[in-house]
Amino acid sequence: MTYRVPIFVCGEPARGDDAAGFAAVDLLPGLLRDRVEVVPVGQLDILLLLDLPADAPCVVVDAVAGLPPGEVWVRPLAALVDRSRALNAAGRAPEPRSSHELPLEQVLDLAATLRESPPAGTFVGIGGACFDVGTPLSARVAAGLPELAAEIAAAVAALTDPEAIPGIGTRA
Amino acid sequence: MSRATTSEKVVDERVYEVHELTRVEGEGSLRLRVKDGEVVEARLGIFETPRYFEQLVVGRTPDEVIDMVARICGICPVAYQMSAAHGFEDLFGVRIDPQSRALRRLLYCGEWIESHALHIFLLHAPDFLGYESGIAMAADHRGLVEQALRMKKAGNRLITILGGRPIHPVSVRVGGWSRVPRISELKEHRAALEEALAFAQETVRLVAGFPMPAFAREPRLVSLRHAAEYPFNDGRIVSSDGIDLPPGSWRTAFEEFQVEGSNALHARSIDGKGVYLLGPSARVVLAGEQLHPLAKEALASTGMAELIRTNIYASIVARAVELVHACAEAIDIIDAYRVPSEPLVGWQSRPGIAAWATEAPRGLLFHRYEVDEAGRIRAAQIVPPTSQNQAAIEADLVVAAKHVLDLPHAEATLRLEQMIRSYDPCISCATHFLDLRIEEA
Repeated sequence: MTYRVPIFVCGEPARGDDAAGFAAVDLLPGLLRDRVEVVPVGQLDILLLLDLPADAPCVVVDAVAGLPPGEVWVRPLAALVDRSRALNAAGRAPEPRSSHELPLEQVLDLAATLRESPPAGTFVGIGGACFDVGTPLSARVAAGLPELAAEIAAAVAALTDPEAIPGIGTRA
Repeated sequence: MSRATTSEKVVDERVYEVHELTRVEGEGSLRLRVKDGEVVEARLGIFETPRYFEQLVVGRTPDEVIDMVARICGICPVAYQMSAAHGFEDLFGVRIDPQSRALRRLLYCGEWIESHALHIFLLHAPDFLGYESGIAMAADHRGLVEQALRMKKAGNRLITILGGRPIHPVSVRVGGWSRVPRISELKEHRAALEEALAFAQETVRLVAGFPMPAFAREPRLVSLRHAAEYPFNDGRIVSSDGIDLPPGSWRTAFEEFQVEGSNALHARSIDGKGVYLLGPSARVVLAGEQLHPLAKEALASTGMAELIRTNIYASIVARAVELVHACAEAIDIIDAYRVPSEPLVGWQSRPGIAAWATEAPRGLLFHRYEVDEAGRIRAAQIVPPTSQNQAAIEADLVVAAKHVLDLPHAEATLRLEQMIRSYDPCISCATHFLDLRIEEA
C-alpha cells in the first residue's frame, strides 16, 4: 500500500490567521490528494510523531507569530529540532503557554529524543498578523495562501516521488 | 540578609518570593516570610484573570451548562460535566440506566488515567529523578516517558470513544448520553488498557522507590466515600474527623471566601478548623477500602499507606495507585458492558437547587445551580479542588519551609516547587519554572 504523507495542520480555524493552514490545504491540487492524508490537529501531539513508522515523512503546517505577515517559511523538521536544542542550551527556550501545549519546536525535540532521531519531513509555515478569536484571515495572509499551498505541495513532492505529481516543483 | 536591631534582640527576617508562575492554566506566585527562623507568612497568590464561568452559565439550560463547564479545564473536563449532570439529575429526579452509569465511571477512568499519567511522569517525577523537566528526563528515560505518553493516550482514547473527542467531550447529557459506544468499540481498546494497567503497576513500584523528602503533619482529609465503589461521581462527602454529608450538601460544612492577592476563592470549613486536603492522598486514606483489588494489592506492596497520609510528597504514590485502579476498573467495565436499553432517559425540569460533588483527579469538585421555573440557570457556584487546596498548600509550605531554610538556594527552590507540585494544582505545571527571589529585609 502506498504511504500517504500525513499533513498535520496546526492552528485554530476560528482564530484569525491561525486558520491559514486549514485554508491552504483546501487549495492543494487534486492530484496530490491521494498521496497525502490531511490531519487537522490543532496542537501537534507528540504521539502522532511517535506513531509514524521509522523514516516515514510528514509535513507540519502552522501559522507563525513573529514572521512578517504572509511570508512563507519552509524548514526541515530536523532544523527545528536543532534550533530548539540550541535555544535550550543558550537558556532561551520558549516557555509553554499552558500545561496542555508545548511549543511546536519542543514537541519535535521531544519526539526526536524519544525516537532517537528527528522526525523526517518538512515544516511549512506562514507569518500571521492577528490570532484573535472570531477574526478573519488578514489580507496579507489571505494573499499568501496560494504560495503556502504551493510550498506544501512541493514539500510533499520532495518527500515522495515528484515525477508522479506533474506541475509541482520541489525545493532543495 | 539585614538585621534590625531592637532594644531587646536582633531580628532576622527574610522574605522569599516566588513570582510569575508560567506554563499554567493559571498564573500564580509564592511569598514566604521568615522571622527568626520561623515562617510567619506563606502565600500562594493566583493572579490569573477571572474566567466568569459562573456567570456565563446564567440563563442557560442544564444541557448547555454541561458542555460549557467542560471548557473550564482541558485536563479534567469530565469532572465538571459529571458534577453538573448528577446535580441536575438529582434535582429533576432522573434515574439513569445502570449501564449509562457504568459508562460514566468509565469516562471518569479515562480522565484519571490521562491526568495522573501526565502529572506523575511529566510534571512530578522529574523532581524526584533530578531533572528540570519531563523533556530533559526523556533523554535518559526514553522508555519510561514513551510508555507514559502511551498510557495518557489510552486515557484520552477512552474519553474519545465515549465523548467524541479527547478533550472537552460532548456526549454527556442530563439523563444519560447523546451517544453510547458499541461493544466492539470498547473491546478494541481493551488491549491498550491491559498494557496501561501493567505499566501502572510498574509505576507504583517505581514511584514508591523515590526518595521522599522529610515532611510530616496531621492533615484534615476530605473526599467522597461510597459504600460499594471507589469514589468518582457518587458517594458522601466525608472527612478524617467525622464530616459525613450527602454529595450535594458541601455548603453545610464548607464555604468559599476571598483572600487578598488571589483571584481564586479559597475555601474553608465553617466549623473553624479551616484547612483541609483533597485529592489522591485523601481518597486513598478515606476510601481505600473500595480500591480495586489490584490497586489495593499495589498499595499494600509499598507499605506507604501511613506515609501517604502524613507526607504530601508521597501523593505521587497515591496517584500511581489510583492509576492502577482506573485502568483495572476500566477493563472490568468494558468486560461487563452491555449497550444501555435507554441511553437517554427523558426528564422534566423543575425549579430548585441542583447540587453535587464528584471526584476530579485533583480532588472533590462541587457544583451548585439555582434552576428557575423556565428551566434555566439563575445562579451558579463552582468550587474546584485547586481553590479548596490553596489553604492546605500554604499551610504545608510553612511546614516544608522549615526544612529548607538551611539548604542552598537552588535546592530550597526545588524542594518548595516539588511540594507545590505534590498537590497537582492546575497551576502546578508552571511550578516547573518557579523563579525564587530572595529579598533580604
